[in-house]
Amino acid sequence: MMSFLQNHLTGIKSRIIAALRLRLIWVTRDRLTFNSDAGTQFGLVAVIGREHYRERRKRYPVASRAELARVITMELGGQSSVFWRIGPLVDNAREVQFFELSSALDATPPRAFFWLPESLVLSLALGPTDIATIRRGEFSYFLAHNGVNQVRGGAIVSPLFFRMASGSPLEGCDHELVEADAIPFIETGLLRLRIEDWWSFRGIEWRVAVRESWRPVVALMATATVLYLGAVSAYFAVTMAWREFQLERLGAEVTPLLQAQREIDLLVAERGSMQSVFQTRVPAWPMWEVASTVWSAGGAITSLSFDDGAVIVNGSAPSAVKVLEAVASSKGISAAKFESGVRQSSNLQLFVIRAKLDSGGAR
Amino acid sequence: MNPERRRLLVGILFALLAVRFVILPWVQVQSDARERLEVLTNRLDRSVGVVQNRDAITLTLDQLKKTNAQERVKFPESKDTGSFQLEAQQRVTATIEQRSLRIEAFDWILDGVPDPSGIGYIRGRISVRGDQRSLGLLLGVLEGQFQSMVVREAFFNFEYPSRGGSETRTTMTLVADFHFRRKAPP
Repeated sequence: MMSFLQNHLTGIKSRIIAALRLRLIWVTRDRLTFNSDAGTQFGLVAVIGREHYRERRKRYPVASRAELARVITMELGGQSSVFWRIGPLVDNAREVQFFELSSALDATPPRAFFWLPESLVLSLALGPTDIATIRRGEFSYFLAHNGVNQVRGGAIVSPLFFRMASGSPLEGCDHELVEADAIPFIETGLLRLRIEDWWSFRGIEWRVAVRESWRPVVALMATATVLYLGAVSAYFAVTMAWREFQLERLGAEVTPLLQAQREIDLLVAERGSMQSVFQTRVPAWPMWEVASTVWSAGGAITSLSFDDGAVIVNGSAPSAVKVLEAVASSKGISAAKFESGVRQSSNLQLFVIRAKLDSGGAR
Repeated sequence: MNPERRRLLVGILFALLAVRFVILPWVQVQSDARERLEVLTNRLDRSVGVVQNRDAITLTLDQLKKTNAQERVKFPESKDTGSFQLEAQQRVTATIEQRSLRIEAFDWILDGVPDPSGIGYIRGRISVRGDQRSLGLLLGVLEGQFQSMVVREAFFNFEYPSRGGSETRTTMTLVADFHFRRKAPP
């Protein structure tokens, strides 16, 4: 049973992962999904190949991220084809990575919510001393874990030269990622991206859509709100007028009838209150009949009380049992019993008898 | 500040003003209208109901008036609790004194607030001393005279063990509720 469930859950998980991989697009020479299908449909994330952008870095002596973001926005002057990522504060300055997309990509932009530079994503998957060589056909570049990268050419023709040029440790692991070998590294890197990075790399289509569509959307919402409120107000007005018309049509006899109904309610309540008094009323005078029985049985009474429909006799007699028998056999008496133990005092027995008067009951 | 941003801020300002001074008051007016409509609908339902049951209402009202009138005579009528306390105390005291018994204490220990139908009560504790026979009769007389009186506790304490002799000196402590009917305002 458990193995069946585990197999079932594993199947669901693998189907979800396969569906998500279909929504990850890798924009290199071709546009492929991570399942190696043609990625022409709308995706969640487009990983932009290194050949489609230029990268540069710049340090700004600004501590506040928000302030630095405003500075960069002003500096770029509304260029939508430049993405940037603000780095951590080091020595009272922050390094900003700029990714300038090529004009070829502008012509046919990928359709996805997020556009992420390949070198950034891959660098997040590398260890501190790792160097990756990414190779696709004729195109090849070297990448360090801090994101520094260099297209192969000139004096930089091997990972070792790149290590020396980029200031990376000379000893370390070299990864050779040819074509689709990079995909597992990209998937690892995607999971390590910070939340603010996702926001910084939202797709151009999304940015443009938000910028251009908010006015009509807001106008539509405002119109819908006003129409809704108007319709509700109209409904209330019409319904209330109709109710009032129906009430008028019922005629003048309604008011006295409503008063009569209210009077009935009060009379019923009054009757209930009066009846409840008599239902709970237990006459106390029959307690003297109990006393008379005790005397007839040869008893003497010290005190006699009535409480909650019961009679309690405190007294003495030569035989307390005979007194109890006499009381128990009286008419209108039930549940006669000794309230406490019988005590002997010289030639008399002291007793406390409790009995219920049948005409009432416990209140 | 560039003109586009200024336009955006002015737009947000106008939107907030519209929400505060147009939308929210409008919604409040609709909430009031909903409550009035609910009241009106209930009133209409009741009105339709009473018109449809016109004959039954009239008949029931007449019957209730008759039966309640018969029960009401058992409840003394008084304008308020204070007046009834005075009236009940005078009547009880007179009944006791007619039998040459001595009142040792008479306290009102609880006022029951009249319910919406006007039936209320007061609870009294009365302590009386006298001979056993007179006190036994007094209890029966009080229960007969005050039909709306409900005895909650009665305690007879004999000076010495009683064997049925009528002259035994006895103290009776009685706790009873005296029910009354509040007089309807004119």
